[in-house]
Amino acid sequence: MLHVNTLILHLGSWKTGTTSIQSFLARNAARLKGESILYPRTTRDNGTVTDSAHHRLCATLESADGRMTRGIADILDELVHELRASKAGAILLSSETFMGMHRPETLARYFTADRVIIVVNLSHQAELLNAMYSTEVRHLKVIDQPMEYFAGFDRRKLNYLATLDRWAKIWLGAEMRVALFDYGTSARIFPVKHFLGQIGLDWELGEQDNVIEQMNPPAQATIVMRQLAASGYSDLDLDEVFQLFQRHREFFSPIMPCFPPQVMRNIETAYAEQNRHLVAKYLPEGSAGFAQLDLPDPIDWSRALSPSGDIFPAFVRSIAREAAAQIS
Amino acid sequence: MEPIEFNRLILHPGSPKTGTSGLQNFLSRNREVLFAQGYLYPQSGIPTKVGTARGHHSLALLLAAATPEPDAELRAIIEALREEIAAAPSHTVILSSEEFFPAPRIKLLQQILRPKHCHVYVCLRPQHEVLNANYYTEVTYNRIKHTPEVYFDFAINRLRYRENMTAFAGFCEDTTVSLRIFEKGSPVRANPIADFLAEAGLSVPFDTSDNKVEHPTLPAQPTLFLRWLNELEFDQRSFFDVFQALHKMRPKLPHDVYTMSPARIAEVIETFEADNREIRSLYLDGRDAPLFGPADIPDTEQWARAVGGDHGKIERAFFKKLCVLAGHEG
Repeated sequence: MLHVNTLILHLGSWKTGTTSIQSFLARNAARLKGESILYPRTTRDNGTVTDSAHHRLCATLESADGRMTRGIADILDELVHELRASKAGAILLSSETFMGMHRPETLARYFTADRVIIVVNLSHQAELLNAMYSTEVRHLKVIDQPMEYFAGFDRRKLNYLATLDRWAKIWLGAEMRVALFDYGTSARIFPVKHFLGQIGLDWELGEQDNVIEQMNPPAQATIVMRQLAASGYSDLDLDEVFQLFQRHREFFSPIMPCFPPQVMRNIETAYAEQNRHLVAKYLPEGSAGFAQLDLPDPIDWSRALSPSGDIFPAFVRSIAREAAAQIS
Repeated sequence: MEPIEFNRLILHPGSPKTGTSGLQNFLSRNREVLFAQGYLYPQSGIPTKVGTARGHHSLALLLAAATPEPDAELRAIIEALREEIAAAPSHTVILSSEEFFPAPRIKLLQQILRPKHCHVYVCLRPQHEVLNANYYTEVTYNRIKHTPEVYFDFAINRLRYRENMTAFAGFCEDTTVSLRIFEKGSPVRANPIADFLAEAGLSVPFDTSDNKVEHPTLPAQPTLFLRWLNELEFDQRSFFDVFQALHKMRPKLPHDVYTMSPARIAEVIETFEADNREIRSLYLDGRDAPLFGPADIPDTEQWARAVGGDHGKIERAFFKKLCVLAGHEG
């Protein structure tokens, strides 16, 4: 078991600027040490690849399920070693996969702390679903059509209140620093600066620190990517095309949701009551809840996204025509 | 069914991929000029569908599908043809369709037409070039999903020049054969219309705009890309739009035309070497020599780099290329 003065856990959640935050933390690990906060390299660096987040640590702890295995003991030893060498009083772990842990309470068997700070930023459930679909098409090569994906989606990920309640119970007295990642909020406008504020740091930052690393593509781009994934594109090929699409968002209709507006609205309605409780329980008094989703007109959405089987042929026709005009 | 008896037939049975569409469209456009000179280019048997070459493909294709008794559609075409020929009894009839090329169809045509004299004008192209060009045609017109190698394995067995030539030469008792070689540098490849007119002894004015390649073959990369679209079951309209765009781009695309590997080209040439020599000896100039000039086989390494056997890689690279060009990054 590892004991620290302060344990800071950044749980994400997904699609709230986590990649930007984690990249920033990894780049500024030395400066964080100056603030007595260790952003450990343990499990981030496997000798060949260095991740910016602690996804591997989370996966390893999740699979051990509370048991003390040799692998876990080695990881904890390494963390102790890093902590001693850094002389830091706090350890900061960041991974949005913590948010999806089946038994987060098992973490208490590995970590004790005098003070625990749990940092969570939450995006609207319907937006999370949409962003997760897009991300999983790209990274996990999900080939389900959007509604098939929704049917199989792990609804626990949308049940924020229950998740936060479980985390709040793990370490008695844990400080829950929860914010909404909504339009116009500081969490969304400048995720890194907002996060630093959540852990008590007020650093001067520049625009270079506010880079959106995983900007969601328009819905049509995701549907095109889905087709490419289904056609056996490798990670590298898919990533190359994705970067190209990000540079040329004009290829696509600006409509963002892959899901019909009515489905998005239904999700919003389904979680409205729960979200009100969450705001009352975990956000500072007087905080506003999620703003109503700004959804496209259903007819515009249908024109751009339905039927989804037509999107890829229409896209290929359009780029072929444009390429021909360009070359000839 | 009574055969149609008449004096003279000029039969142009292709072969496929030898400039046939351009010639057929020219003959159709000049029907009246030909008629005034004593030649009938019948309308019967020409497909009515817009955009189709004006050869006698309907007749040929119905022959291909014919059971021992011709069906109503075929009978109707034959009767219409009979009437056209009867209305101009002294005229020489010209029939043209590369769909007449297979020997079994020629044998069926023999049962319908009884000319006293027949002049067969036939062009032959090296088999590997025909296979390669046919693959493109199959992908773009018949929307096949097969990879080139699978198609070549199957299609090579359908190339029977020697058997076809025997059928052409025996069309009627008085048959003459003009065998023309369609290869780089040959007169028929340079100008299929001029060559036909000269061989048939016709004098129809034509200009350079008539000599256009109606169905140019796309290079290997876009052809394989279009095959992928077939695999994805693109609807006809989308496919055709992309097809047209790629044709617009054709002059600026890499010129690696062969989807067939250099090794396979060499194998095809070897397979038909003996047959081709015999054809030359019997129907061209009596010499025991290769029918075609030396093949222009692509360099193996260069072909492997530009095309190669990994079709998925080519499809992906071509898709990216389109995106890059469309994004004005090229």
